[in-house]
Amino acid sequence: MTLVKIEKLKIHFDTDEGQLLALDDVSFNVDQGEILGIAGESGSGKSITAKSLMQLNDENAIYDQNSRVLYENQNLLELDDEKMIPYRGKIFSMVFQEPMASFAPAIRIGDQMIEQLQIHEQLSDEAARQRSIEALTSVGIPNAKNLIDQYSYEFSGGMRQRAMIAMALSTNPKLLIADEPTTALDVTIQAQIINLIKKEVQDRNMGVIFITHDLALLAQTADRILIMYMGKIVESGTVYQVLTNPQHPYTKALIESSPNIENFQKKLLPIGGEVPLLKDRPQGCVFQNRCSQFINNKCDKESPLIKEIEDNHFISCHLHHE
Amino acid sequence: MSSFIKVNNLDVQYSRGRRSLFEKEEFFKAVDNVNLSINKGKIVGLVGESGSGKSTLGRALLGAKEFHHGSIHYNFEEGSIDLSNLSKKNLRDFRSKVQLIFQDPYNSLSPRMTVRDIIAEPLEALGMTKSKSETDNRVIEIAQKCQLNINHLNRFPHSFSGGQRQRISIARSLIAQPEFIVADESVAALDVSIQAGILQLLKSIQNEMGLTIMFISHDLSVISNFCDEVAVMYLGKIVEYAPKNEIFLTPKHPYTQALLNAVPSINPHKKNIQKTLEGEIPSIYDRPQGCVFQSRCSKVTDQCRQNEPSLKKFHNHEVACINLDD
Ligand SMILES: Nc1ncnc2c1ncn2[C@@H]1O[C@H](COP(=O)(O)OP(=O)(O)OP(=O)(O)O)[C@@H](O)[C@H]1O
Ligand SMILES: Nc1ncnc2c1ncn2[C@@H]1O[C@H](COP(=O)(O)OP(=O)(O)OP(=O)(O)O)[C@@H](O)[C@H]1O
Ligand SMILES: [Mg+2]
Ligand SMILES: [Mg+2]
Repeated sequence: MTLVKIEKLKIHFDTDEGQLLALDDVSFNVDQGEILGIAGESGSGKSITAKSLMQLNDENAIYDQNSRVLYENQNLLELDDEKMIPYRGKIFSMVFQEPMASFAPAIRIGDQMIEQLQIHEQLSDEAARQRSIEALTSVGIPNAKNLIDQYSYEFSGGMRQRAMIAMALSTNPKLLIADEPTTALDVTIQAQIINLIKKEVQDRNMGVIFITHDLALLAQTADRILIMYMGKIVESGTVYQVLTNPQHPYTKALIESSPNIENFQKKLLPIGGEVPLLKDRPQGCVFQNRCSQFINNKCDKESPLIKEIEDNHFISCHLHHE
Repeated sequence: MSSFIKVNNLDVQYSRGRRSLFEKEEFFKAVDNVNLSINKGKIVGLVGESGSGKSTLGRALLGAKEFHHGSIHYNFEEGSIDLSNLSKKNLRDFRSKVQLIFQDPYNSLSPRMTVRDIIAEPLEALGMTKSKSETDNRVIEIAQKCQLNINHLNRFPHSFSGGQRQRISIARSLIAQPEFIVADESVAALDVSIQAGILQLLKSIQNEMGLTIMFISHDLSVISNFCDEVAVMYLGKIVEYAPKNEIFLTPKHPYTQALLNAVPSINPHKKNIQKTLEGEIPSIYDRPQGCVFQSRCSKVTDQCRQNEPSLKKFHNHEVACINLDD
């Protein structure tokens, strides 16, 4: 069942260089019990997409009038800060890349977890503390009863990231937004965290938006994948469709440039050129200057529409005609 | 053939400070009894978890961090050098033959220097050129090799993208024509599409100049693609060292095996990271007696808690483990 529906999300940023288009008609949904992966190069708009759900983008973000973030038939973009509170830690919860930044260094982990819980639920200090200990225990932190009174710098990276996830899950969210939750971690710890998230999804039937640069990580976690480039979804489909039968030249190029431990003789092919700056967004297809299959007079003129090329597999590229 | 770099029983320590004014300063070993030989012209990957001592070992090899026990020898064509016993002049010579490629292309380049000056710095610091025009020529030559636009050399680094900045770092570390380079997480901050180009560049220059590279990374996929040999570190020790194919096809040490099992496969039909190591790396301050990996090892025996295994030749590997089966 659909949990959240994003429709025509379009964001400009008001800057010294004018109003710059950063997200262009992004539409997708997340189902209950589903892990939706979002991948794409740095600056492609993954984080601002995720932040839009909680309206946490910077002050200079301008949302288009037709943009919608629908949860239970309510367009969250119409809500004011006060009405948004439940979507910032209760119904929706978020885990960030750098857990150091999310725990204040001078406050004990437990106190932060208790405070977070009490914002969203009417709980006594004792009850909130119990819930926090349970949450820490459930993510595999041993001896949570004592560790809860420690400071985040006393935790190792892996423990901190677990505590962060415990805090995000303690309010029983319907949707967990994980923005590069394992990027700073070692692979063995990353594997633990991934397995933890997958288990929680099953146990709670929660939806997850999982953002990462690492396509292999999505191969192991996601049910469906969105590939973003310059604020657009260029390809989307099931993890099998996108990774084993990629159709957009950008997706193909990304895969060809990724090193693969199972095929280490593979020759890595870089993608030529670079992502243009927001202020240099080209007319036509956003990927044209790096595309090996560029069609003159077409790709530089018209913006490709989104087409469904097989069941639930969509791309936005001129190479595919109906 | 004798190896190019030979490391014997190397310990590198850091201070933990004093508990109180009256107590002695305490030290701990970030690199513990490391033995390693590196052959000329090879790319040696160094992997291991955060804090395992990779950067410390790299810096010790460059003479940038003093060590307390053991030795590091280099066999240059002009003669060999013992790092623990260098005269001022030899130190200067040595410095011109080794370089570090910075880790982070965003913060490591001085924002107030032009790209030309950044690249030229090692030449000037070592007094290797006689005139400004000679320096300029060298800068242009290396910049071209690194595929930088030579018309942009008078710009400041902030106007360059991450990938270009990494090319600037590389040009800078190559300009004095070193024989050995330590690349410490040099591509970690880059997107794969850009990373692939930087790796390609490094490889072709390495070939052309006959460079030897120590490539530090915790990305095993990159290591598997780029390196000739791989050393795996855990808690200050090298636990396995072998040619790339051997490491990735037939890993011997239980830690190497666990590491490889934790690397996600890009094939969604093959779900692979379900079974991995439990627990976390122990504190480097209280290293266990016996094997460093005992607390997370599935094959641990009483023996492992008593005797510290040393690196032993096993097939084509060097492995520090007493429970090896064929
Ligand atoms: N407040 C802002 N003002 C102007 N531009 C912004 C602002 N916030 C984000 N951007 C721009 O929007 C684009 C998308 O940013 P976003 O953070 O979503 O990228 P990302 O895909 O998450 O990248 P990364 O992988 O590096 O985290 C970038 O070009 C970024 O510079
Ligand atoms: N200048 C220093 N003073 C004291 N301790 C240090 C110093 N530099 C590193 N250490 C410690 O030495 C150990 C090894 O650190 P090192 O930086 O070599 O690890 P690493 O393998 O490079 O880790 P990473 O993957 O995080 O870069 C760590 O416990 C670290 O905290
Ligand atoms: Mg981001
Ligand atoms: Mg390091």
